[in-house]
Amino acid sequence: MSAIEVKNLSRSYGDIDAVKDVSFAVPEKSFTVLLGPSGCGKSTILKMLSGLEKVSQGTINIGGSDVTEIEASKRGVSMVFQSYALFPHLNVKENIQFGLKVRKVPVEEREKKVAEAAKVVGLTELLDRKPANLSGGQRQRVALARSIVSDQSVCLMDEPLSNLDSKLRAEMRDEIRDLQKRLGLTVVYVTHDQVEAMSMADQIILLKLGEIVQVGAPEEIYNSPNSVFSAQFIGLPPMNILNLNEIDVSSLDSKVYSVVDSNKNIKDIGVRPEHIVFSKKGLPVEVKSIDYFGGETVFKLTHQEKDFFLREPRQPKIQLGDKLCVSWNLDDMYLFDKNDQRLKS
Amino acid sequence: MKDSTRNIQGWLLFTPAAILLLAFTHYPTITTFFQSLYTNKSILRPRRFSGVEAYESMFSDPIFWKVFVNNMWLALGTIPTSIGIAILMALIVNKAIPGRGFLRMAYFTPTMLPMIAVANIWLFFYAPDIGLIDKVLEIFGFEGNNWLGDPSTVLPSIIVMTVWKEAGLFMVFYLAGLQTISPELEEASKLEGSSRWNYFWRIQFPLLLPTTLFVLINAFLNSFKLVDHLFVLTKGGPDNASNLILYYIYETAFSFLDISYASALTIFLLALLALTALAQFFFLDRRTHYR
Ligand SMILES: Nc1ncnc2c1ncn2[C@@H]1O[C@H](COP(=O)(O)OP(=O)(O)O)[C@@H](O)[C@H]1O
Ligand SMILES: [Mg+2]
Repeated sequence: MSAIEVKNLSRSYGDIDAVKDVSFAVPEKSFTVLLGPSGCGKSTILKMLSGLEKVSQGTINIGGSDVTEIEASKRGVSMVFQSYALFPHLNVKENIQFGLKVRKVPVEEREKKVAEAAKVVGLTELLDRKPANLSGGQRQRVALARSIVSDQSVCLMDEPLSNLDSKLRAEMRDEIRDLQKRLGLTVVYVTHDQVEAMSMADQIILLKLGEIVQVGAPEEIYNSPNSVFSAQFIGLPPMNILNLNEIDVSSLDSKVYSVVDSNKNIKDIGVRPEHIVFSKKGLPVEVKSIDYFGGETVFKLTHQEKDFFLREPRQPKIQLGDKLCVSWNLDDMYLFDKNDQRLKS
Repeated sequence: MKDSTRNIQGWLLFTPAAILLLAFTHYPTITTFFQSLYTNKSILRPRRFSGVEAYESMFSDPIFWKVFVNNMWLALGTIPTSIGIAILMALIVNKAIPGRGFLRMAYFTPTMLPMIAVANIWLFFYAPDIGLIDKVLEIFGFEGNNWLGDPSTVLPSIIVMTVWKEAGLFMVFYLAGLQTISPELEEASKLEGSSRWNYFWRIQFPLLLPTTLFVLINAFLNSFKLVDHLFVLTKGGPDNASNLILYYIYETAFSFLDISYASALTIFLLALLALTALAQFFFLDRRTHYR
């Protein structure tokens, strides 16, 4: 069963169409990530789900009932904001129980819930602190605890990790994922960071300019992107996209060449950096830069003034300025048409 | 650069400001203080040291007590009301409503007018029979009143005018205060089912406390400093019913030419304002900082 179902959702601000005819479903107890570049409408979608933003068109279903016109507090959702939205004059405990007080939950039950939630996120020792005296990670935990005590089954998160440093971010990624599994929450999580999306999501909804580009599990989108945008947004360094008019097609491997030559609709070919290898024959390239990362080495290569990347788990004896050839397997190659859509070969 | 040259440079930079302060603030204050300790010079009698005599007569002067109490009523009548109205106006113009810029301007206009101009406008409102207020009352069949000529209504009339004049200024401070509050706080509390009213009392008002403290003290100082309108409206009358300390000082010094007594009154007012300013430093520096 789906916890959330969105049908033909649109939102415009004057002339700007922030969200255009978006439909998707979020399975119960799943972790769904809305992923896309800044300004693509992720936050707008999340706010419409929460009821903090009006819908221009379309319907939203949460927990089996239509909530499109229902006010925010009655939708059964909680939210973790990018800035955490903690009340600066209230201590951690008051921040966590703010909603419980509003809903006039009896004192005993309130105390119990706050204590439980504080324990879950490891804040028991800090209940008397003001937000100003907490670290970024601790503030993040207060926001999570506030969401937990609300007892809502759906939790919306808008870039909750973007204010943390990279080490803490990696830690919190695991923690949030773990929390979601333990508490059986349905999470809709907004981010522009593909690493976050890949490592946390059950389902990724990839957006561009207010429209859905592709929906699928992380490995699904990685292994079979449906467009140049999907192919390049996920993976680092991104998939190499080579325009057939800009490369020396005749130097390609014969099997690759015959496929490329057989279909006139092919405009670009795409190959992931880890699928390109140095070889005796193939596309002639020059090494432009080399980045060692310990576990892998990333080479920036240039062919007829076109740059692309090659990723190697070893550290081959290759130097800047070396002139070499590269090739790849036919199975690892993606084909795209003139509208940047994937062509199934 | 050597330390000594740096020191000299520092003192040189400080000197112009120091000279101005000394000449126009500290020196007059000290002379005023000494003048309050001496009797007035006249053709018949030379100046003589009189100690605290001027202060003794001040505390036994019924008019002094009357203007002091008037001043306190003015403060009490204007401050809470203008703060309340200022917060309300700030909340309104902080919303994304059409015509917001115009509304902000309109609310702020009274503050930009000089006090004398404000007094002239309100003189027309309060004029007996032909004034705006009496005209409106007449329509509804009520009796008019000589608002500024009646000792029982003159001070309330001045209070209403002062609120009208000051609320716009305080609104600007509150608007600035409101804009430092992240809109996500309102969204978060809305999501928790909090009403607008609850959000104001539990979140906005406490977060505006530093602003309120600042406004409170400035409003208090203003209620002693602003007297320009009395020159136009009432001259302190009738029977000192609208007289205020600063206006009384002016009268004593320049109408009654009693410099000694005027000096004593001035020192009293200065002490009162200095204490308030100190309270401001104390509170604003120590309390209500969250971030
Ligand atoms: N309140 C608003 N008024 C006008 N335009 C808005 C408003 N909120 C968002 N937008 C526009 O809608 C688009 C999507 O915004 P948003 O959902 O915040 O993007 P994202 O969260 O993906 O970065 C942007 O072009 C933004 O400028
Ligand atoms: Mg956003």
